[in-house]
Amino acid sequence: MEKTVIDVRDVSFSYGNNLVLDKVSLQVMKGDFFAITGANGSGKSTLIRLILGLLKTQSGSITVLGEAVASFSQHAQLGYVAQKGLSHSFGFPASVYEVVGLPLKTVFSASKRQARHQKIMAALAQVNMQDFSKRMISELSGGQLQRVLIARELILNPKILFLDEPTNGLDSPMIHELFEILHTLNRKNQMTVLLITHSDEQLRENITHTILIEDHHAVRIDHGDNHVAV
Amino acid sequence: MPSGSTMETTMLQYEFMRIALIVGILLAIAVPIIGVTVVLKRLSMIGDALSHASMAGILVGLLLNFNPILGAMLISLIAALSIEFIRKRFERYAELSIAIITSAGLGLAAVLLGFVSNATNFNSFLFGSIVSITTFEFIMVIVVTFMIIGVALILYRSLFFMAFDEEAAKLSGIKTGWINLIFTILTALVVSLASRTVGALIVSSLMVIPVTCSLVVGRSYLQVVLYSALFGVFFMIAGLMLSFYQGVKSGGSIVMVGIVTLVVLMVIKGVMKRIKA
Ligand SMILES: Nc1ncnc2c1ncn2[C@@H]1O[C@H](COP(=O)(O)OP(=O)(O)O)[C@@H](O)[C@H]1O
Ligand SMILES: [Mg+2]
Repeated sequence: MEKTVIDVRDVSFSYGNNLVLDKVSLQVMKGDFFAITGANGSGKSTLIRLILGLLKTQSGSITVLGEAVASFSQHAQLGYVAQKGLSHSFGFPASVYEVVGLPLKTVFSASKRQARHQKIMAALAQVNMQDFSKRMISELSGGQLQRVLIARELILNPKILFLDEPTNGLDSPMIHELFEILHTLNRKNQMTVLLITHSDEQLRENITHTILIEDHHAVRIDHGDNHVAV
Repeated sequence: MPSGSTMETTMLQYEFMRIALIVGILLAIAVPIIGVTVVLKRLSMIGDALSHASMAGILVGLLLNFNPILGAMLISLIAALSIEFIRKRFERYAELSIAIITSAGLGLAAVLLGFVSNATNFNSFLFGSIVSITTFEFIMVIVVTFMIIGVALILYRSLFFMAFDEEAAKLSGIKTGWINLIFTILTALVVSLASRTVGALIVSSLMVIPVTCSLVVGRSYLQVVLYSALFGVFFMIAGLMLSFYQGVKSGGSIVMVGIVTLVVLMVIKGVMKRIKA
């Protein structure tokens, strides 16, 4: 039984006079490993930001987990690693442990210390970073930092994980490892993954659906390579 | 050294020095705590902008004949809210917004200064006069400091999350708009109070130098916050003692202790890196 977790219908969006998306529709089902691809500036980040409610839709409708985005309340169910992630976090004085624990509300509670610790270590283990908890994030490589930011989003065990170009600035072994991790989350934990990516070679193996943004429209790419307009 | 303790006793014999020390220590905790968020959000110059606005505010108070410190708080608050407003709307120009408000404050102060017949009060504001504060100012310092410590504790995770990644913080359900507003108000209040006591020209240093020192030695966000307050208190006490025993301006000596500490820390860190490598 398939269940729609993201439903985008006829969404258009412009920045001022600059039309970015024109009547875009897409449906993401529970358990999908869904990719959005397209040229630089085609509107991929804009689309993901609309789905997350970071931008307001100008026309059309978006539903996430059965709720309209404008009045969305299940924040803990969504994890999002933004495109700017890496450069943005550069030099910030915090330990890996602290950053992964940010979504947990129990910072100074002595009684919840143990539970908190276990959650942080479990999230780090999911991205193979459990040995780095005491490191400062400024001492990590790009791939390690990317995984830490993913662990931060995993700690509340979200239903959907959004990643905006997580492979940017990573070399190909690191990209491979990242996809392994995402694949495991998707298969073993039934987490829906929606990511924006350029790296086409990686796309084929694990990804179940791909949408190409082109000329302001969304084009569904069949994994047999036929283009079918949605 | 036994002479140290007798020196302290001497300094603390005076009522005005005891009050100065209490006020100094409170502000030396509060201002760097605010400074951590300010520095991490890359708004380091906000202290400058708000202290200049406070100078204009003090003159408004003198001219219109009401308590100058209230004038300072009011204008500082307006300036802080304007910066936050501009920052939100023109994200790429956060720095520019601070430069504009700094200029506006300075310009306004320069114009108003022409109308003030007795400028002594204003001078004491430029360089601070921690030994001559009023009871009202004393109470305000205590109230604002405890508000800042309280907010730093209650909103610890939110402020940390927002400094790290404001958008992610917002998505996680944190009320970033409200927290920014509360933070902006507290920043404006503490800067105007600190301007009056340690001096408008010094506030910005007290806001960023302890934080910079902590960035050199801290290994986590929590450490950076705690060390910032500790460095602040150390600079304050050392600066006030220097000022009392050597007869130099307290504001200047506080800053100089901070700068010397920062240089020493950076040298030590550099040497340690060499040894490890
Ligand atoms: N905040 C913004 N204000 C104005 N224009 C923007 C903004 N963000 C993106 N754009 C423009 O919208 C278009 C799509 O951007 P974006 O969604 O970031 O593309 P992508 O993620 O596919 O590279 C680009 O032409 C970009 O210049
Ligand atoms: Mg993008």
